[in-house]
Amino acid sequence: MKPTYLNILFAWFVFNCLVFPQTKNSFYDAFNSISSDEIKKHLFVLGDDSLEGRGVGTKGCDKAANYISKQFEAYGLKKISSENSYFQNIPMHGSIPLPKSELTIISKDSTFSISYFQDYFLYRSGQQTFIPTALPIVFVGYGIVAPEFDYNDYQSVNVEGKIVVYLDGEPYSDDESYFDGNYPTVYSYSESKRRIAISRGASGTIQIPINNFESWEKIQNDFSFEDVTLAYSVSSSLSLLINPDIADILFSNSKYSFAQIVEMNKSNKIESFPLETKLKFKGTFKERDFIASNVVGLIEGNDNDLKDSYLILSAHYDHLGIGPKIDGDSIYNGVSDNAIGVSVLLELARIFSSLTTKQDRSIIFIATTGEEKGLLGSSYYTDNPVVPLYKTIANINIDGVAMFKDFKSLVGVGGELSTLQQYLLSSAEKYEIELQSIPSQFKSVDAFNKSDQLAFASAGIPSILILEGTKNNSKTDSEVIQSFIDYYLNIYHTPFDDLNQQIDTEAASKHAKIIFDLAFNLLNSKHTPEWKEGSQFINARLRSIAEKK
Amino acid sequence: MKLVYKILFAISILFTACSGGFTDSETIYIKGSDTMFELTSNLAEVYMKENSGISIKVEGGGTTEGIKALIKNQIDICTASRNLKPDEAKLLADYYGSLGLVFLIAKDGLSIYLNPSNPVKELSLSQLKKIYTGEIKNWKSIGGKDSPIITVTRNPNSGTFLFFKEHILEGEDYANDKIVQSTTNEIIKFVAENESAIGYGGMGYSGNVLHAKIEGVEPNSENVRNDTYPITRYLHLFTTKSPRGKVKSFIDWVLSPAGQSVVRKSGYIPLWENKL
Repeated sequence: MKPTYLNILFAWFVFNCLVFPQTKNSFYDAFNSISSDEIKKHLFVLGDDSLEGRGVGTKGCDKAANYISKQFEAYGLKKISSENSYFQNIPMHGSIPLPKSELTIISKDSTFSISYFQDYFLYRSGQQTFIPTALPIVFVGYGIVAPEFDYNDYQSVNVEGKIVVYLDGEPYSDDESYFDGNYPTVYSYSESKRRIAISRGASGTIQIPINNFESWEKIQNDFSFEDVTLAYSVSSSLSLLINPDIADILFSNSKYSFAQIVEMNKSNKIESFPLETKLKFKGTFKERDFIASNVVGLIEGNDNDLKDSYLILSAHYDHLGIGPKIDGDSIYNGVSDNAIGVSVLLELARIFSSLTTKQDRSIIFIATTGEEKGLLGSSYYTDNPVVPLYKTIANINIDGVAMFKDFKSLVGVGGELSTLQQYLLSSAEKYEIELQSIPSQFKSVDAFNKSDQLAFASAGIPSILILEGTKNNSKTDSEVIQSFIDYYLNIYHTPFDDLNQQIDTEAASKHAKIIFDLAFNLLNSKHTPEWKEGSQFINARLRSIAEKK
Repeated sequence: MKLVYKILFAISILFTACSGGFTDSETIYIKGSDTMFELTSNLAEVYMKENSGISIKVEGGGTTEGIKALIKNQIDICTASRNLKPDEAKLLADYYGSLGLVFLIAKDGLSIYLNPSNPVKELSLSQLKKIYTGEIKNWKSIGGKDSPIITVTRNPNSGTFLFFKEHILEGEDYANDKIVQSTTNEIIKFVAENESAIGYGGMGYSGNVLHAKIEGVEPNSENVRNDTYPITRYLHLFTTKSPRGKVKSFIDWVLSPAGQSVVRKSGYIPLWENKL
């Protein structure tokens, strides 16, 4: 019999059914239909100037949330938040200091009034920072108490009811057993230093940036945005960042001058001592309270035993909003950070919803808000999960995607802490993609602790952020590394992260395919990712399982 | 495992608001701010009606007493019209390895109460400071009758006393001849009965007193909400750790439209009522 078109089609169908199970068949159709055009379509909406940089609590951010929710609706995702909508509403509080705030430093023979923006910034804004009566100041080195390194900057000074001054960074050593050698420990974080100071009874803190300091202009740019917190937060106090150019005022008539402190820092011989100056601060703030939203949608699983377990795919949709003008542009569009990540998230939602066969487990898509203000949306989610945390098997967070379509390596940031690394390796190998560890040039960036995956991990959920590696089919390692460095120096958190830059949505769709493969495997595996022994997140996992939280 | 992760964990145990257990009893104990007593009682009453298995016990006594009780683990929630003082934060860290959590639940305008017969109807912040520090002693010097000013304050345990001292007196001491009253209602009663008296308290309180304009701005909801009225503050709930179970449910409800509606009905400014 002469083969007809229908005969051939039928034969091909039978062949496929025999060779691939049904889900596999759906998988390859879906995999191949991941579309760079779809990603581009979302990107040009979310990255557009009309969304004004998607600053949390702004109309632009609300427009972005509405756009995402409409896509979820179009893809048929299920609403699961308590308000019976895609929005998980989050009460937030915003505060910005006004220029008429008064900061005064009083020495034995002089009084100095220093100016907000020009001379200092506030880490936390708002009424908790008010100190109308002059308080004594104490220098406390790096402001660190680290018993495991037998290190205590507070050992010889009493700071109760006083203001403490410290340098950024931490003691330097080549010895990996002492403050992790060349890599920063958590003690170098400003937040750690603030909390140590408050727990010691200090009334306020002043950080002088000298170790990780590029320029005051850079800091002015970073601190020009509103301070936003959740409606609930850890107790706080006055916490200042002061321009090192005027830091000597704090040390007037004291045991050492600031120039001597700089020398002590270089020689790693910091000493704590009380200063001969006092400080008072009368802050004036513009405060507001508003609702921001995570956008959450679900695709239910099909397996009776497994559908009540969940994989979370997340990407933050907020960025910085409107900020200081640079070269005539004040809109911080955040196209790479993270309109592109949300565009990939939406494309994955479309693809998963298009699968003809449902997956065993359920998948939750979350476009988080407030990431740029301190992982606010993801932290709120883990405090108020829409499904139990202990039934959430993993989080794949998307914050930035590959820049170059010829990439041939990926980094699974945080993957090494759990068995997620094996799942990612298995997915990457299929497409001849290598896995590599974080290139040494970027280890100090501390990527795992800088995006939403940290909030999910802290709630015990094995989490991973997948970033592009340095191996590439058409570029050398050093060319790729230089491109990453150029991005961080010239584009990241500037108005230039907009649609005018070169964005390779082919690279984004290739990145999306790896995530799709990984997510697909996690959804259909009988096994679940586990933290590796010794991971600091195990206890949170065990707690959520024990409490069925 | 990298050491940094061990350290991160150590820090999270020591100084963040890590979760901890509250008693399994179905009673929630709340103590603290007298300013917030009426508001908290209203919130508790409505919540208990909607959640029949839950009992909420509300006590006043002042913010300082509330924080002491919180640190002694005698209560679940402390109500506070001010922030934690450094020594209180240190005690929390010492006893609980946590700096505690603060929840914003409402905004309040602090009204300056005058007797309705007093011809003075408005004051500047500078005049207010001078009156309470004793620099201005007679109403005549600010356009009133020739009559000595009687300043009335809350007792020093109250968060309102401290807020007023820090924000209006800019840290200076109150004049010694002040009249001290334990509650806002007592202040209002005293001012209503004494033409030369001046007192302060929540904007939500009513009674036979005039709420003075400050810097020409009337103390009303809109002016407090948009920060135009110059004496505004947030009202807070404090917990030692991340709340769970019934305590979390209650606080979540307070922040929800239902709870915020009770805030508005109690005379305070809801923070999120219209937007949820």
